[in-house]
Amino acid sequence: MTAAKKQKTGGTDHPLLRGCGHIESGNTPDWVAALRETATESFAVTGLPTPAWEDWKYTALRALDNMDFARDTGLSAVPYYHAPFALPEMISLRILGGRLVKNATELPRGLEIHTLKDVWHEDWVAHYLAVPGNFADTPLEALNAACLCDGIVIRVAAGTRIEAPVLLSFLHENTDAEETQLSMPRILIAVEEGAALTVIEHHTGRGKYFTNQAATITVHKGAKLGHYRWQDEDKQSGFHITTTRLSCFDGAEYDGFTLTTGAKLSRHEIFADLLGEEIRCILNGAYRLGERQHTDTTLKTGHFEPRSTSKQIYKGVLNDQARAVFQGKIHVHRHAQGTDGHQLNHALLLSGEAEIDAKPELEIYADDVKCAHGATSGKLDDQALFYLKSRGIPENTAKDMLIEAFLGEAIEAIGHTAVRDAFLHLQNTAEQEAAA
Amino acid sequence: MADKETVAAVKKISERYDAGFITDIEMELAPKGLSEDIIRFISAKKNEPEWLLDWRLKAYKHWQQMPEPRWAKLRLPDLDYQDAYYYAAPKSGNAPKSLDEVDPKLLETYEKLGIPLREQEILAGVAVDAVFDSVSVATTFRENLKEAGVVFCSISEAVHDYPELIKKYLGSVVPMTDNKHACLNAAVFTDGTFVYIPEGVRCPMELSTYFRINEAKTGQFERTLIVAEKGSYVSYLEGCTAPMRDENQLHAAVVELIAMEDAEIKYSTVQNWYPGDEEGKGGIYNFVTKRGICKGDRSKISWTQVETGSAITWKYPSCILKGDGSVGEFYSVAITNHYQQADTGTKMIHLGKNTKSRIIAKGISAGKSDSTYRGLVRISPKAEGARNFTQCDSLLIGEECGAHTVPYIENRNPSAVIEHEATTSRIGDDQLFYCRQRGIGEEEAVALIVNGFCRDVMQHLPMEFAVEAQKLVGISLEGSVG
Repeated sequence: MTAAKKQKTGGTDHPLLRGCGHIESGNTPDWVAALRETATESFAVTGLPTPAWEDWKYTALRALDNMDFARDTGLSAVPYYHAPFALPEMISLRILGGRLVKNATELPRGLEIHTLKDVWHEDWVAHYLAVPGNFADTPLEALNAACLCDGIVIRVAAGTRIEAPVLLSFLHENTDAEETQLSMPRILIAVEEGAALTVIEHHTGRGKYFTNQAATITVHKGAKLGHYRWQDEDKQSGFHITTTRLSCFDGAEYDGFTLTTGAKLSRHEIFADLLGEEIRCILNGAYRLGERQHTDTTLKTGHFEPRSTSKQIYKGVLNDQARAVFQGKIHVHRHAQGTDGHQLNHALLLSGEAEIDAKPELEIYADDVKCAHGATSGKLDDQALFYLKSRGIPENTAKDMLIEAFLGEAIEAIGHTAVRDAFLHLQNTAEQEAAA
Repeated sequence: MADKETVAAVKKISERYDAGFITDIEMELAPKGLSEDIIRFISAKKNEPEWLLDWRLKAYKHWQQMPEPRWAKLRLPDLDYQDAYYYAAPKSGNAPKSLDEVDPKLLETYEKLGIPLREQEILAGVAVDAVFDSVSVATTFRENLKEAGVVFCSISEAVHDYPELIKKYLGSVVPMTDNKHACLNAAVFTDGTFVYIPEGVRCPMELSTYFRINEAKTGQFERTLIVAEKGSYVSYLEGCTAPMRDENQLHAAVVELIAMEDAEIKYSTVQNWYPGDEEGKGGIYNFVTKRGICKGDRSKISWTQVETGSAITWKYPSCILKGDGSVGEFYSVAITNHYQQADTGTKMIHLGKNTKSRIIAKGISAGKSDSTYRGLVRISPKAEGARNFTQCDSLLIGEECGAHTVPYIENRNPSAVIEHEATTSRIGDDQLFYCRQRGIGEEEAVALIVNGFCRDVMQHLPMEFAVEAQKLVGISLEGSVG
């Protein structure tokens, strides 16, 4: 890269850093100040990643180059919002401009939900977040840290099993302004030893905005976390990037699922570190895109200790000029004997202009492992379609049925029954909308 | 039985790398280092036409500006390009007219390697072009081939005898600017093989080139160009060895294949360059660019490779499937032991309608080695009805090796069907136990099981090579268990 180009993409006066505006520094703990500094320096050097970076080979962020940004203050009026589904006892919370909107909901015993600012002086929060990270490979995570001023903190006390699912709704409304609104949600979820929790994220909005989320999730010994996301941002002008750092310890169970239907451009990058034995880590997902939407899923699963299982199944349907990227890597370290790692990516292309790029990777340094990955790509099965049509089902309906069955296979693996049904229903609705 | 033979071969050979001897022969060397003068020297030695020298110099200029490819999963050393000879030829004459004129010492060398050139000439079978360091020393069966209309000669001869063909095709599949190693090759290539199969001719015998690096501190930069005209067929084999030395030597070759309408090229390699010793000292750096283009409709290119040698292998034989209904195949076995590193795979670029590709890659890592499969399958929007099947399996032997799979799959056509599968496993204890209790030693059992694991690939090798390759599997893995 030439020096001139670097100047353009990096530097501390990068439009994205400027767009974040002034970040108040009064009364912040030292670790926050230090983290902001390291992250700012790192982002100033790297700038946004380009397709010349191996991990960004298929996703270009050029669209962000010529934009003006303004920080989402969370003050714009968000129109009436109703949760996409109602689950029994659900604890519903809203996040505007990356800030948690406080409400008076009474929380079950053992569950804490805070706005980061209220607890960042506490040692345990620093323990999770004050990690002197290396941001060189994750510029967007750096950007989030550089602008860190608030966030959402969820903790479940050891041994507590919370039945009530927590719904986090991230809402955006920016239909009038010239500038693209920036929001940088920071999330911390800690499930202590033997505890259990279910968290659902719903990202939605209207207008021009860019959500750049960073999440730190820790599932301690014998703990269980169900984490289900629906990314339903504005299809024409919403940008969504999430960087998740997941750590699991002995016997932990993480059941993750991401449904992607929204955003002009989205990317979900997960670093899953399996730091103990007998962990079960599931990172599944489904996507259904049309028009000129682009989605990128980049998963990096690291097996560090023996006898853990990781599974990834991603299924997607692409229409119009939509493009999907799937990059998955299973890295089995020297000690991790007895690892069981599986990864599958299946894509359906419904149009001649859609594109799927897949890069499933295995990096293995232990010999007693069972690791496999598979990837397929193709169109709807002509024979199946013919069969349905020969039974008097109109072509469009038949196609929908086949797509529903195709995606359903991934969604049905969701461990939480009520959430699974809700997501299956969501997928159907998305289909009907698409058909209409 | 080949398996029995494998076991026998493993036992028989006390030296791990039996091609590791040095031939003591008087050599003519160009001065050490790389510069425009050296390139002029090589070109003058070969009495080359002006256009080729210009081409070389252009490549050299470009090479100086190119970055080293660093994206592979390899611990790459910094290469000192100035600390090597770029031209080394046996003094005993450049172009012998027949085998009688070839230095007996050279003939002896090839005999020791199991390629008796003289017998080859008497017994019907395989035509051989023997390349010793920088020059081709002998090409057998030329007369018989000529009768069939097949051109099989060293590339330096071809430059003089078939300038139009060379001018037309040289660098047409692998452009000189393709990558740093291919670019270096374009600048300093010293010899190689040229094969031309005229329209409708089925080449009457297997053609083969045997590459031998002998001189210390030399690099080998050969170029192979194969053109198969409409409806023709050729099967080409390539083998390579080098003496055991403490230093690392560079081998940067370029292979270009062109298949016209209904033509078929089958290209097989058994790569057995010196892999370095058990401590990882010495060995060949094998940085090779191989690419074929299926230009005509229904043409077919098939790559089969058995990679057992080299300290570092960086090699991706590829197919550009341009003609409608053309077929590309890649069958590979890559074995690494001790400190060897291999990053190898293929690229299948589907451009034409109803093009098909098939990739079967087997990686076996032992000792402290690392083996990576890296492959690309790209379906362009116009490749209606394209089909790909990929299977990569890795086998790990021991606790200190690594096996990696990095496929890139890019699909831009909904009617294309792509399937990719990969697995990683080790030799099962039950498999070993079964062999052991039938009185088969552990090492032999491993060779047996690995040969079974590689069968899907081995069966695509021509018979003569398959036997050699199976033996190599056993030898390469020696010392990996117990």
